[in-house]
Amino acid sequence: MKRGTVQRLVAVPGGRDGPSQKPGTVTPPAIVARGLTRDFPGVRALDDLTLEVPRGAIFGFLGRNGAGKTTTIRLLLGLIEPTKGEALVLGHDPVRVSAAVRKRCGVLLEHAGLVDRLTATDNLDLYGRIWRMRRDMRARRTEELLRRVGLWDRRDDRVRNWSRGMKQKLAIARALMHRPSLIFLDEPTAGLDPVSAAELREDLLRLASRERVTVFLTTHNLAEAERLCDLVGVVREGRLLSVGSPAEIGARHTRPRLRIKGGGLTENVVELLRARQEVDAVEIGNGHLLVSLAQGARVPPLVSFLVRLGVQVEEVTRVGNTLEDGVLSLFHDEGGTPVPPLRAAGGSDA
Amino acid sequence: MRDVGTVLWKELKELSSTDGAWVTLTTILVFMLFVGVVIPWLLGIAWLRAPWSVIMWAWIPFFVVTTVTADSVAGERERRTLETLLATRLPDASIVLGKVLAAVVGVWSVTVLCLPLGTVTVNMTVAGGPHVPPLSQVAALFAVVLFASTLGAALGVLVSIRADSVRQAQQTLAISAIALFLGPIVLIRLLPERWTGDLVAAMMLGSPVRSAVILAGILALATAPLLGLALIRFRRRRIPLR
Repeated sequence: MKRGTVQRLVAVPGGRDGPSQKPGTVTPPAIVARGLTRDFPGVRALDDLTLEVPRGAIFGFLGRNGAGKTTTIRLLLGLIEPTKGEALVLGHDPVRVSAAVRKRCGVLLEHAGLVDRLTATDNLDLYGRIWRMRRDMRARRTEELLRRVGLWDRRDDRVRNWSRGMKQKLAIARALMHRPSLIFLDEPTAGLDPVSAAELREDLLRLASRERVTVFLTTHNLAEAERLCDLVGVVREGRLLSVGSPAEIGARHTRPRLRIKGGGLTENVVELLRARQEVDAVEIGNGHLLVSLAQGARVPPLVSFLVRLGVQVEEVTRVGNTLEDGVLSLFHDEGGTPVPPLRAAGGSDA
Repeated sequence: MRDVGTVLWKELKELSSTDGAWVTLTTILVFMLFVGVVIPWLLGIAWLRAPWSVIMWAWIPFFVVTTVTADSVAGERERRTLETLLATRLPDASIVLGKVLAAVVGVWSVTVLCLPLGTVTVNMTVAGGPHVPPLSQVAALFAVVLFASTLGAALGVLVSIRADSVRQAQQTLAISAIALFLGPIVLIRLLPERWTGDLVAAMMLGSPVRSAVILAGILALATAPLLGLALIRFRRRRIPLR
């Protein structure tokens, strides 16, 4: 479902933001933050955020409630000022030229922000007017977006009595109304039932892909992030802990695991395995062993060791660690994992 | 100006939306019945000729417009639409001016409609007509209503920016409106007796046109700094968000 690799997305030649660029040139990141910090009375909401989000990517910002996700969006939109640090959003400084940033961004914030007394059409028309679209363009775009999110038949209904899922869909359509280069979505599926959330995710993927827009998405739904995002950043108590693709986060912050199938996997073998330094834990499965390796452990010596013990090794497979594994590992590491230099560009930490 | 027009469109569209329309229409009709029929009927010819009657043309729109604008920012915050509006390209000044203008347009147009309505009421209840206000009086009263509405709208937005809720804004504004009405009365009583006598004589016996022009001038002078203050205080980065 994802739109492609980050590397491909980073180096998109041309496109809406770089029509004058020569083919092959690397597009500058959509978002750059350097040491971005925000204090509120008695609390540091965001602590030294350094991050780059490439253009065209769907970036997921993961964290618990109160981790600093919404504060980050507000800072990047210039709705609040940082205590220290700086940022560039689509090449503009949100402190000095916040209007230029907002002009090219669409938002769906924590609340849908729809005018309940107005119809779906009027809500989109209002934002079309705000973005100074011509009347015929507004009408065309309204129809196009409402059809895409399946709300065209409800266009003349006032949105007051709509379900949260329908409101969220309309709010996403509103965020895309003026064809922004970047959209911020603050927990778009929060509070939705699983079916509505899945529908919204599908709509979001389809729209983001078609519109070729960079998406900055906050969520605490890890499955959603894994499904939607090219890149994710994990934030805890205002501090960014890690950035990478969902697979990288899963692999980086959990112990590697091996599934070993074969004959002769006796209790004695298990005990001897557990005694080795490169092995953290061994679980006995149905005809196989699940071996958690210590950080930096190499696989071939372990396999040689098993062979020497008389095990008839049939198959050795690395077990993939999910984003959820990685994020939970980060969250549970109360001592704080040493934070590597954080760069999202290119999809890997520098 | 185009952005101001957009905010004005939004505000008027919200007021005239299907369920809001009934409430709005009923409020307008009750207002016109009270200001355009009941008061002229009770006051008779003094409603047209007494110089003190101009105070009513200032106080009524001022009071009404503050109740409308109490909702302007605090209401958006309560309905969770403020942050989304602030996240658009709309300049701060356009949001303030659009909200002020929407309230002023609404209240001014309804209030000035009460002048012909009240004139008809007076002519129906007072003998010896026709009693028609001169054009200069009409123009001066229109100006009084305009500046009183703008003053009230600027004050309403100003209070609404920092208010925790619409109710809190309405309470603050109601107290302000009463203070504005009672303040001059207290002030007059504190003046030397000779001045008070002159003032009362001017208010009772002077020209209603002159009173209206003076009041319009005072209101205009008060409006300019208050509107300026509202524009200064409405800054995205300083507005509390929930």
